[in-house]
Amino acid sequence: MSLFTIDYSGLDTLPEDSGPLRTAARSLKTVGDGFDTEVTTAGTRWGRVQNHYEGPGAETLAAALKPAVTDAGQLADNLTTLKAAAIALADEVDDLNQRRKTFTGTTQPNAESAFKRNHPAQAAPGYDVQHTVAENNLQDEFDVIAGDWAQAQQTFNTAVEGIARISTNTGAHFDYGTNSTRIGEAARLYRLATAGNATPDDVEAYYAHLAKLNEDEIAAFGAIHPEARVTPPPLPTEPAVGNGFPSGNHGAAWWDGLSPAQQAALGLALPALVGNTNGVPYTDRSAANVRTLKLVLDDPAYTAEQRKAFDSIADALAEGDTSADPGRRYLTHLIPDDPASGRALASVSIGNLDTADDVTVSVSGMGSGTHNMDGEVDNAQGVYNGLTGDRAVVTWLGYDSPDKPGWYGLESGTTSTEVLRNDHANTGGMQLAHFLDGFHETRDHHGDVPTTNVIAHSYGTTTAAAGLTQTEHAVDRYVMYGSAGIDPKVADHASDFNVKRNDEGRPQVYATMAYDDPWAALGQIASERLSPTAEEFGAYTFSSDGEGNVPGKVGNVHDQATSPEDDDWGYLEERGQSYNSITRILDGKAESIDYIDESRYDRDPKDHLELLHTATQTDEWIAALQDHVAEGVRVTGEWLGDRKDDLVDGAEATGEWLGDRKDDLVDGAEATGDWVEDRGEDAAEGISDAWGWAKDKVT
Amino acid sequence: MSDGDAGLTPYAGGMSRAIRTAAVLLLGAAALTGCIAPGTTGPETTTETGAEMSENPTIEELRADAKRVLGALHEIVPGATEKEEFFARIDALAPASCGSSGTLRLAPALEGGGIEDPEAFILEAERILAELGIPSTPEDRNGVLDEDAYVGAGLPDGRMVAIQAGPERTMVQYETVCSNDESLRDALDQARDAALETGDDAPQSAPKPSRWGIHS
Repeated sequence: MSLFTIDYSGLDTLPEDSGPLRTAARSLKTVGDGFDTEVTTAGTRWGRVQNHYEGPGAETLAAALKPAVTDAGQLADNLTTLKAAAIALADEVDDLNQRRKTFTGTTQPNAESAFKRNHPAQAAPGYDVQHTVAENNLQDEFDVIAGDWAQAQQTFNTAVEGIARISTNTGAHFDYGTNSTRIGEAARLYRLATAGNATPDDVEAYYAHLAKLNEDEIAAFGAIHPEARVTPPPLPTEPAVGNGFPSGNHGAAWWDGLSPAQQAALGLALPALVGNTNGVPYTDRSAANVRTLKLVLDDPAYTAEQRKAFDSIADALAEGDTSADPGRRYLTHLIPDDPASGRALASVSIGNLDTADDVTVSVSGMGSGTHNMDGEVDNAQGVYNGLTGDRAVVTWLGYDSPDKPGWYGLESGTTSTEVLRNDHANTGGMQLAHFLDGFHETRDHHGDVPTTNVIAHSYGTTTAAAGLTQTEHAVDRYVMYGSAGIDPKVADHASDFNVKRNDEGRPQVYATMAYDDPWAALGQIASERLSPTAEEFGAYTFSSDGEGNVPGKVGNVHDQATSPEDDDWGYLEERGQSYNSITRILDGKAESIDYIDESRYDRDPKDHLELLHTATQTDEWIAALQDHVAEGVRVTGEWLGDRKDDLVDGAEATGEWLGDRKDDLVDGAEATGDWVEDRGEDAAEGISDAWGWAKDKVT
Repeated sequence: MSDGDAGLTPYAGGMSRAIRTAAVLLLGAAALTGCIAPGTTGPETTTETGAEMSENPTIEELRADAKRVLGALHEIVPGATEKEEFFARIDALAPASCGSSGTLRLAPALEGGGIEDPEAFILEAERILAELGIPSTPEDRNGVLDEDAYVGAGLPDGRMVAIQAGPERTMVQYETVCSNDESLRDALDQARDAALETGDDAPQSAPKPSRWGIHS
């Protein structure tokens, strides 16, 4: 049995034998040449008709087959190109097979032997960590081979696409029965609409031109420009202006102006366009997006990460009681390859967005993404089940969320510090605002805007906060849990959000944070973002710690949901106090909850020495600390360096940093500075003591 | 935005936050080592409670377990779908994901009408759950808020029952144990094929491509 578990799936589609590919390539060329010869011969013989007919149009008649001869020649040329591409692919297949053989036969066994030599005792401190590192390194090595296979396929596909379409250097081999000038114009406008510097005017021109095409032309355009089928024009980074793209009003007017035949043709030929156009009914969008999903699901031109996302999205559409109506699942948007991030972005709705009376949009946080769409939708299903009436819950994974940082445990596999920045939130917030406004306008087009809520977790609260300051239309409620903090440049009070107010005149903004959720606290502190559960923020703060009147288990982790077998309790797990509170709020029973001034985290910070004591109880921690302290200092220093400096060195600066916070905590800058300096020294000593103690234990 | 002092982060902390900073710094270092990373994978075993199940149960075993539990609770859910019809829905239910473990489970929900006496409902629900071998514990913090009853119970193997019952509706959610038996993946694949067929939905007026291109 192998010591390391390597995911070989990246080469699942690699043929073991390139022979059939070479044979096919050669026969293709032979057939093409034969076809060219036959047509040319036919043309020559047909030309002899001049010898037998001298009536009107004799020359035209004799030349009738000349276009066919030209076309046949071009076909033969292109098949020559195709043969060369196929042979190149076959060469790559042979090379990759050799590399796979070397990897499985030599590289991996050697790595395993070396590891066993260097780490003979599995029970030794740090064994698991070293094993994970070595395994990851080996996987990276294999992934390079898999990546080359994906690249080889993409190169081949590009060659194939090049001969399948009309272009300046390749003639069409098929009569599409269409006006190629109009199709060519559509292609030109598509290129403009998808260019990096595209303006809303460019995109609107593309939409307007498509409305002029008949269904045959639409079908032909999609057939010869496959990229237009699966890649819609990107959303702008600014709010929609008036009724322009990408507003729901623009899309609804455009869609309503099409004939049923045009709508049907667009859904088939350009599904990504239909599926991502605000204003188009969501049931039509879903059918189109599922069609796009089918087109990309097994397409090797996409990266392994993107295909993993497609797989998870497909699972998400199928899991659970999806046949039930209400409760059916819809793919409400799908961008297979986001040009900005390279990720697949999508949203899945449980319940019909065209008809639901109450709609909740869920925004997930760091480390989330369509690679785990089924897991995210599973969380949303719990929320859906906890609500009543004709409702829908949308899992919106429409932004490039930051990776989990290295300090979120080694399993995150990254030392990213993205979560401490706000750029992902700002970009994602704009995309969320487009989605929310688009939804409002789509429903408003039919005169029945539903109750609309936003719930957000972790960094999703940072993102949704950015979005809810840029929307045109107010949502009814905004609920935050386990917040990674709100950027003070975006909002420093609940009233900054475009959220409706209740009868008390307060914005319907709610927040909770479990006392035993250290990662939200860490995210807030290290990024200098605000805690929305602090009293000053002005949100309705509800407890996840067992306080107040809502029954349910006490939350004790940062996650939305945890492994079923453990005793941890995430914010969205059924039976939890957080879950019960959130579903009550969304169900219109917010007034029945006993709110607290602020979370226990905000008012009752933990004793760091107690934490240190707890954390240092395990030998694993000691061993791993020794192994990783250098890396830890480097990574930690990047994101906490400033804070550490503030604490240890900058009494005056720290005093200023703290000075304008809570008046009741700050009585005097001098006293505070001294106090903070002392605490900083305590912290530094604590680290030093722990490290010394750890070294003693290990040695 | 309020008119807070420029350049400062309003109420981002105080002295208490300094302590927390030190604490999370240390905690962050600990987490960097992976020793307190959240999420564990428990053994794929079931308790002796209830129906016999293998360690890695098939979808049929999970369906039987779901019917046993929800069938027992069915009697306290007023106006619920007839039991046989509900069981048929369980048979048609596709598996759902089990966190990030890659395994699958069943997660059926039983919905019914409202209840009148939430306190009595809780007692009755707790009695049935205890008989099923899935007793509530004090940590579940069952209780009543306004006219709504909340009841929860679970087992270390991952099985879980969550009940919300109020004047208008009763909702029972159940989650079975997780399993990686291939019968679950097969069932999900079938459901997935059916779900993807919705992408073929399009009015018949759409043109069909011919061998040589698109012709009207």
